[in-house]
Amino acid sequence: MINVFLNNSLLYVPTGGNSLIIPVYLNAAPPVGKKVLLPQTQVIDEGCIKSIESITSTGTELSIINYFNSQAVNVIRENDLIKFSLTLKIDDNIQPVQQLPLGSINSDKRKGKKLAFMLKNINTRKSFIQRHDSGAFTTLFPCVVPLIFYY
Amino acid sequence: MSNIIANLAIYNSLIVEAKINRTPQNGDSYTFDFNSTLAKAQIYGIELITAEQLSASPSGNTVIAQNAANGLIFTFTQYKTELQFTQDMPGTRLVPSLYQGITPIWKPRKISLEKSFFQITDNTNLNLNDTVLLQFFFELDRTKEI
Repeated sequence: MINVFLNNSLLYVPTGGNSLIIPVYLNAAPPVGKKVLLPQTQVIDEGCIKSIESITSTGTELSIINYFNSQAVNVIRENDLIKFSLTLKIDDNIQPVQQLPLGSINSDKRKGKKLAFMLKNINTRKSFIQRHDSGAFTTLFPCVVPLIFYY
Repeated sequence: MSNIIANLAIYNSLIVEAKINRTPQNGDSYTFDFNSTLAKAQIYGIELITAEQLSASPSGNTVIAQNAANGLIFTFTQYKTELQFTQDMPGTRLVPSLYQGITPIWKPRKISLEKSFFQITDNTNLNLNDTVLLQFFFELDRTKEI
């Protein structure tokens, strides 16, 4: 029997308010299990995160990003993005978002829909992405994993 | 209406996994391990993660292929009452990339994870040692227990 009483609502948030890209820089392929910390981003730490998206260079999203000092860096490819998850921490004991697959917050994979979060007091400096898959990368290094935060 | 909107916002998420540790046979069932965080949680959203979202699980296992989702059905059991509030839900309905990006939303409730399970109905695209990952969206002690 298949239940019919589910409320199949969209987890959707409009893009109003503020947004920025947090670029997670990878100089080389991190070892499996390695936690790569996000750069500390004060406006995120002080704001309320409403949505998060991951971006790849596969398809039509974003091929190159201008990293610090206008350094042009490759954006990670889709088949490498899915090797990673995202953990957002408030402190060492409180992790509201644990091991969120970056492929599950990719806009292309979600058909343009966004997950709607309500996350306050996140400490970006303690938050990280983590590699789980030991497979070889096709993205050329250095590369960036861009995460768009709507806040 | 405001309650519905509040339920859509994600306060917490985590993933749990169940490894297919026998040669997959149609009719086989697998439960999920007890999770101390989820035992305290009001769960309102569940997604099935496939290799299109995460190619290897945090414990290093191969995640099921996306085309294996149509060979799985899921049953979720409510805590205390042991009501199976979702019976035999097709895995494809839990994968947003197969379902127009939509995530199914339930009224927040405590789930007995170890009494929830999935069953294999078509083993065509499943392999031994593949792992089934579920991503739970939940809130901790902020809504009344149902």
